[in-house]
Amino acid sequence: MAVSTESRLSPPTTAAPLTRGRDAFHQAAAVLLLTQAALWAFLLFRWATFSRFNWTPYPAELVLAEWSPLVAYALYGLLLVWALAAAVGLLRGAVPGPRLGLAYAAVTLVGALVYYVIGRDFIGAVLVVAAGGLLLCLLTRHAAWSLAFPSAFWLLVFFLAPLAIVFVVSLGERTRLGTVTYPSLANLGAWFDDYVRVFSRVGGDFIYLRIFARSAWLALLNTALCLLFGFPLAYWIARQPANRRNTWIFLVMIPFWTNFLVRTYAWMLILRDSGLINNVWTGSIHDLAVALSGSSGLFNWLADATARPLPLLYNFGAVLVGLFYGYLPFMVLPLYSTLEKTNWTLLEAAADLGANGLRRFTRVLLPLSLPGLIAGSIIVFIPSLGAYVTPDLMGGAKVSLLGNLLQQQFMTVRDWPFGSALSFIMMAVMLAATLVYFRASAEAERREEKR
Amino acid sequence: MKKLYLIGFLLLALALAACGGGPNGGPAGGPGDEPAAESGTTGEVQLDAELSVYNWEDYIDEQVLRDYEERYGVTIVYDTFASNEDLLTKLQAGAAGYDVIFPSDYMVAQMIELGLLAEIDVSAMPNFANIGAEFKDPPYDPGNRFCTPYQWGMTGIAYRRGHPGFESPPDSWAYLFEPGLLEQFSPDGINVLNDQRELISAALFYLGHSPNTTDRAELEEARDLILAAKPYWKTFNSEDYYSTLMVSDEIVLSHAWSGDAAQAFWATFDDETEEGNWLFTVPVEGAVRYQDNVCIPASSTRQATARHFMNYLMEAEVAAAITNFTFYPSPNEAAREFIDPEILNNPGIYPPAEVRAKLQWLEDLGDAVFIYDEIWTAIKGQ
Repeated sequence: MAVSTESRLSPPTTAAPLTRGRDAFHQAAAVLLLTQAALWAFLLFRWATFSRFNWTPYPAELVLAEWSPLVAYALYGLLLVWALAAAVGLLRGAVPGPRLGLAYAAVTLVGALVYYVIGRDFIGAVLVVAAGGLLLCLLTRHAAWSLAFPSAFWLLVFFLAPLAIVFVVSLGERTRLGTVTYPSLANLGAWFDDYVRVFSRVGGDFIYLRIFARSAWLALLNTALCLLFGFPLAYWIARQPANRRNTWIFLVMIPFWTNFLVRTYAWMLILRDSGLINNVWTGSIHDLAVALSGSSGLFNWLADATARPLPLLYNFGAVLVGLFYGYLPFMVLPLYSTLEKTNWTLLEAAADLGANGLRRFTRVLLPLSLPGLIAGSIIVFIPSLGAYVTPDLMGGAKVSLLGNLLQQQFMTVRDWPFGSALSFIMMAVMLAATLVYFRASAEAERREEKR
Repeated sequence: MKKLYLIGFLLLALALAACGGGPNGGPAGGPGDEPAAESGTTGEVQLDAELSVYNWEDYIDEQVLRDYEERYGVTIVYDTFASNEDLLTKLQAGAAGYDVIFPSDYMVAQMIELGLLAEIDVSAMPNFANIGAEFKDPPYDPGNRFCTPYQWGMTGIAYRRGHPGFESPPDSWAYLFEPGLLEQFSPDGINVLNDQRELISAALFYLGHSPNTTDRAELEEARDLILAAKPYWKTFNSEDYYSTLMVSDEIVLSHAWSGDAAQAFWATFDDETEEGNWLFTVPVEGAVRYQDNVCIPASSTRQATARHFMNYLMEAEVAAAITNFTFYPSPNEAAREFIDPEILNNPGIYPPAEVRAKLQWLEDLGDAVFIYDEIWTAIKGQ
């Protein structure tokens, strides 16, 4: 044991720090190192028994097979011993333990990069980097970093890295066969021509801008509709007795149990020419109007109108109905969670001070529910802007929105650079909308505070 | 602690002493390339234990696959795709593992140019003799160096039997583009294919141009024609229009692939009257013919088995079983005697010679593909 019985009796005279030895960080790091050691031992075992068991080789083993078999033995053996030594050192509080561990982490990080360059094995390299990075965080005793590392690393690898790839592709140029080439370094203007293309005319018409505007308009309209209907619902639920609120919120969430696509198809069955609404329209209403048609001009007109089904599906309105239905719960939930916490006595106080209903709403309730309102609006607006399935199915693929334009670039036309540029511009617009929203709400709050 | 270090070094020493090991002979000698030991043999071909087939949805009688498995002891892994572009994107993204794929004509040309297909030798496939001369040596794959024909079809107009407007078949593209006719039929519903080449070529046929034109003025004329007609069309659908729109009578007229129209015919078939509700006609101005093919991706590691399977698909009984299931005409001449006579005598599936003469291939466009893309974006974005 590193901490001797003597040191308990008398204060330590040496510089050996007491906290070094067996704190939680070093224990966690040691466990991590032990699993690494087990991994190397496993790989070593596989390597030694290849001729006997005929394993399916890993990409790493194919890379190593290029050299003499001794290289693999030396590499695995070195890493195994190193990891074991560092782990044991950490567990026993030995001085070289942390240093060995740090060096091990650094070596695996660099090694993983080198391995990726040589072997092009993305998954293997990512796993090694993940373990090395976590080890580094643990050994440097950064509690918050260690806890945040797994999810941060996940986002980095599966969000930021793909984003970077999309950006690089957006700089390229599409060939006739749909592959991507990149213009020469000198020709800088050509790098961004896909971004310029969005603002250009096609056949005398700003077609892409028009699609952008149409999508933004639809998303705004949908957000406004959801707000208009979602706010009263959230308010009503929040004013229910506490024991019933959860039931209502539960009911709001029930549609999520069914796949969105299935719900969209259900709407199509309701709205189509031979659907529920038009069956009533051209069926019983028509029969009634025909029976009464002699009596007045109104019924004559109605009989004529009901002879044909209403054009309910495959147009802009149908897309809006589908989106509104799909996103209403996303508006209700954040609004409810803010309204639920509202101090209703403030409204009573406002009433006592002579504020009428409208004033109580605009001056008290609305500012109080602003956070939920903003959150709900963003959650509804952003996916509506990129909506793809609903316009395709309920719009009959006639209403072209940003999502459809994007899909078309990646699948039918196979212009990946333009599709990537489009998605970047789309992201910029969404980011701008979010920022403006937050800025505005922060300003509003500040103004409220000043008063 | 020292002991532990010692054990570590000992381990290392032991490993070094063992020497040898690793996948011997490097990656080339990996087990993936070796034929499985226990697989059966037929003739001179050594078959693999498994074969991965990637086909269109509902495009083969799965009994055909089971028969192959039983006969040759090969397990078939079957998967489906929705469009040629899906297939290409998957292959380009490096999805290895597929051994047999079924791309359409124009896609074969692109895949050959991209080097995605493995060469085959049709002279080594005895059943290739069953294929009709008309279907051999197609323009997209001269000399059948990469593919064998699978099934073919035409693009035309499907229409609702019994609608008062169709006393004679609507055998002209005018039914999709002429304002007077559109006024008459659009209240009852018209669908067009959501397919760039098909829709533009329909307009080009109507205007009297070649479906493979690369002339910008002609293409812009086609675009204006389509844009003028677009408000009258109910939907752009090329995926499930026959099941969701045609069978449920949401529309009375549709730009359609012959096989899909046949599916709608049989789905609405009435045993008493012996009539289906949907009929198919080829417009007099001319129409597109297409052909789906059997090919092997260059990345396939089981090419010998894949070639064996290709030969099996061209057996007369097998080709007939597929046509009896899919209602697509077979290029296989020897299969005719096994095909259901009702299918053979249906002019909407097996067109007479004078109709066949009017059919044209969609050919590779070269750089004009950019004009087509631009026009398609304008059509869809308006």
